[in-house]
Amino acid sequence: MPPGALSMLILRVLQTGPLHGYAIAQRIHQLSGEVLGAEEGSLYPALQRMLMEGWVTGEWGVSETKRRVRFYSLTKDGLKQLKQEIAEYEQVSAAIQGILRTA
Amino acid sequence: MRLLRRIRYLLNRGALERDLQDEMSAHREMLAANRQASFGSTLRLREEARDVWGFTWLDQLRQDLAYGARQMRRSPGFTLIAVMVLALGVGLNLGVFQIANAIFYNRISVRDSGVLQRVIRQSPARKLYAFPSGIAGFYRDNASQFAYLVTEHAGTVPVSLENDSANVRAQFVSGNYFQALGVGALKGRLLELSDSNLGAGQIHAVISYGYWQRRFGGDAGILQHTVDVNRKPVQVVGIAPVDFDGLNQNHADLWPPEALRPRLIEGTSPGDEFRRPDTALFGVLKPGVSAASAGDQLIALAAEMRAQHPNAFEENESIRAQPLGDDERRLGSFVFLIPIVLLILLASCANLGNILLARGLTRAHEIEARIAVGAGRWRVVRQLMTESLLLSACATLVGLFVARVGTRLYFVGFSGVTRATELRIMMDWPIILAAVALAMFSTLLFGLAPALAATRGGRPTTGARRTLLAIQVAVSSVLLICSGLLARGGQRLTASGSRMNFEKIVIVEPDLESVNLAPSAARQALDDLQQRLSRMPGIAGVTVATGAPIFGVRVQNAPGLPTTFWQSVDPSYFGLMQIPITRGRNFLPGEPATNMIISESAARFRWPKEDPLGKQWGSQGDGPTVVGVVADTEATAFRNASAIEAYTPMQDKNAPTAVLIVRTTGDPGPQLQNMRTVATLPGTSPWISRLQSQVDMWIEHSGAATKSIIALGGTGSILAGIGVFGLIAFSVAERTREIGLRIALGAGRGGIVRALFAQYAGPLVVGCAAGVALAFALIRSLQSQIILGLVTFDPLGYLPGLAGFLVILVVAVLIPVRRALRIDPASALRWE
Repeated sequence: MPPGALSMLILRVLQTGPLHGYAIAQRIHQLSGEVLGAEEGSLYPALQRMLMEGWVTGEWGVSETKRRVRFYSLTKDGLKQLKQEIAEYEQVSAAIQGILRTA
Repeated sequence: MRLLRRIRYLLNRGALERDLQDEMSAHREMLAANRQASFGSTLRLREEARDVWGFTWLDQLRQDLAYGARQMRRSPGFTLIAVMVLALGVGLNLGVFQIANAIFYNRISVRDSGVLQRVIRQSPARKLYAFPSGIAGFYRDNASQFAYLVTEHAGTVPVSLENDSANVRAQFVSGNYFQALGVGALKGRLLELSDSNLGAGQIHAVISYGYWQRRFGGDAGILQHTVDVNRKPVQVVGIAPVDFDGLNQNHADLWPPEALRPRLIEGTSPGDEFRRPDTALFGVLKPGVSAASAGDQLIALAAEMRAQHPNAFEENESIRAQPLGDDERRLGSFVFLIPIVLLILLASCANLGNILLARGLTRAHEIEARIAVGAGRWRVVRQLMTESLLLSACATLVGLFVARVGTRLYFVGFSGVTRATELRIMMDWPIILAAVALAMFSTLLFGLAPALAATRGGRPTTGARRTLLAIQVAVSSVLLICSGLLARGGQRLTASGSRMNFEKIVIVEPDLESVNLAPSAARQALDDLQQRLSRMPGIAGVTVATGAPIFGVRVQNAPGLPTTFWQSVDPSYFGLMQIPITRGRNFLPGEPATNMIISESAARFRWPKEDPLGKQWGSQGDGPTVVGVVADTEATAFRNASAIEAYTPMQDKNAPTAVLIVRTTGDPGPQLQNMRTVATLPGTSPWISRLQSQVDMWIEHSGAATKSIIALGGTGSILAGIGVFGLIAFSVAERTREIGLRIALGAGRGGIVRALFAQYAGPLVVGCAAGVALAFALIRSLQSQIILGLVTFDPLGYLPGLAGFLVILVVAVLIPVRRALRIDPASALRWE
């Protein structure tokens, strides 16, 4: 996974509603057709960084398996960040594809 | 916001850690058994998360500090030496900083000293700090932009106190002075407004702490009865605080109210308060008032005054208020100490750097091991720097103590106990701040190079060591040269002080300016005083000159000539001062101003090969004609060794400011009081002083600086010497194995000694040369500040310093080399 992509994916997954860490990992794993998700643990340092930046907030709750887990939800700042990251990503991706196609 | 979050995280890090751990283990439990491995290393991920929180550095700092403290405990000898070496350097700097701080900022001890303004007059020609008292009083009472204004006599007025033969310095102050400045009494009370309107014949005054101690032995009984001041009964109402010395800091002994001046000084004529500019004006602006608007108001008030008293103002005179702190103040000879102590700090740092370098070598294994198991180079450098920081923190603490002891020693040992009360030495925040800054600075200075060298890996190069050696050699030769030179200067001075016989010379300054006499009348008054003084018993002679010998001469620095001391004198001057006339003739009575007499050194400088008599002094063949040559006086020894002297005949126009020089047949002490009585005219307050006491003061003042520089220089050279010694000893010891090998292979001992010396020849020569050049530059640039007996081109002054240093070097090389040579080659080969 390219650096920075993980936080974009997390933000995108959280856009649909609050999720706990395991659920976020599962979502990314499934939605990517089981391609992404090499090291699930790296989710946590990324989530810590996003908490620090104020993009997400965390709230403790109980999971479907009756475990005490933290549910993360997107903040207003997080949404702004997500839009910005997607815009940047699309720009770069379009440029790369352009090169791949024509060069 | 992010900062707030970060701080909250820092405070709750224990809970955060637990949360994260819970979260991760919940995740792992939910993972299917076959996908466990895809989670990654929990430990590493937790560390990464902690990095995000941003206190990795804190953890590492704690680790480094703990590790550093362990290292220090493990080698107490090294720690002790390192701390002491650095503490000396830091402590001396702090001490000097403290004294400079005291001289510069802390001397005016009044409530508003930080915002106090001084009102000054500025004419195109000059800046004036004093007003006629009547005008200053008008400003004081009418300038509404100031919260308060106080006046203080710009100098002091000499008065006689009972039978005290010394001059007592009275400083008249406004009635609101002490109350407005917020000065509280040490004993009794200070002057109040009511003290200015006392019934007839009553005078109240405050005395200084110093005078109370000196004259009354600190006896509080003084407050019970009156003392005689100028033969008037004066009630001392209180003692001023220890550190209070007025705003002009004129070392006043007595503060009477300005309003009662006519009662205390006989013959003060009514118009004086608008004639004589002798009063300084200080104040504090009202809150929110700018200096500019206060200045505008002062200008308006001044215009009003100028209309009434045009003679009290100069042409185009303006007025303004400026912060008191803007006054030019002189550190004097003290300035010389600053580069010296900085050099000592440099020497201590170089010394410590060397010790650390050597230690880096002994710890090479440990450092290699740390790098081998994955510590980054910067991580190790940071850890070594933390150790240095720990060392410098300890050294700073010890240094604060050294500074305290040092400043006390400086005052008690070198400048007499009395001066200690004149300066407040405090441990306050600028000092603490300076200590911390110095510690940081020295950490960088002594720690970085060794840390870099130790982590570079591979065979250590000798580059850093050679540079440090050169620095140490340079610093210690500067210190040795300076102190050697000053020691010689001090010697010369003591010698010339005892050669001169100034014991029986008394200077009478008749204060004729106070009575505004025309030049011819002033001359008449001088002749009169001369007659009256010479009729007194025990007087050998009286003469008139424009100023006292040595201290009252006019200094001129004309292009193309050395500093010239000018004096206008009566013909009887040379006889009275026992200055022999070596060629030509003395002045005659009524000598025209177109003739002059010069000193031998002036003749030698101006006309090295010709007869100076009949020549004209000006370079264009103009100026006064030389009629005589006299011997050099001791003024040169005291003030400037390369100066020359010139005399012109006394003119009437100089009479109002002239002085009388009296030679007595016996000890003049008992005569001083009578001389004052005889020399007092209506309206004047003559100042009587012994020339010898001025000489003594001068010697003491400059001697204090000289002695401290010599002491510091000695300390510094010893420090540097130890450093050089240790460095060479260490590197020779390091080469023991190699020396053994060479001997085993048949090398001669002489060859080995030569080879070892050769290794240090480069840094030694470079260091010595740099040191001599630096010392030369230092002395040259500071010579004008510390003139006392200092001679720039004095090879004998350099020699002892250099010789002393060479001895240190030779001993430093020889002792370890001898030890290395004595070692049995077989055991040297096994040396590790």
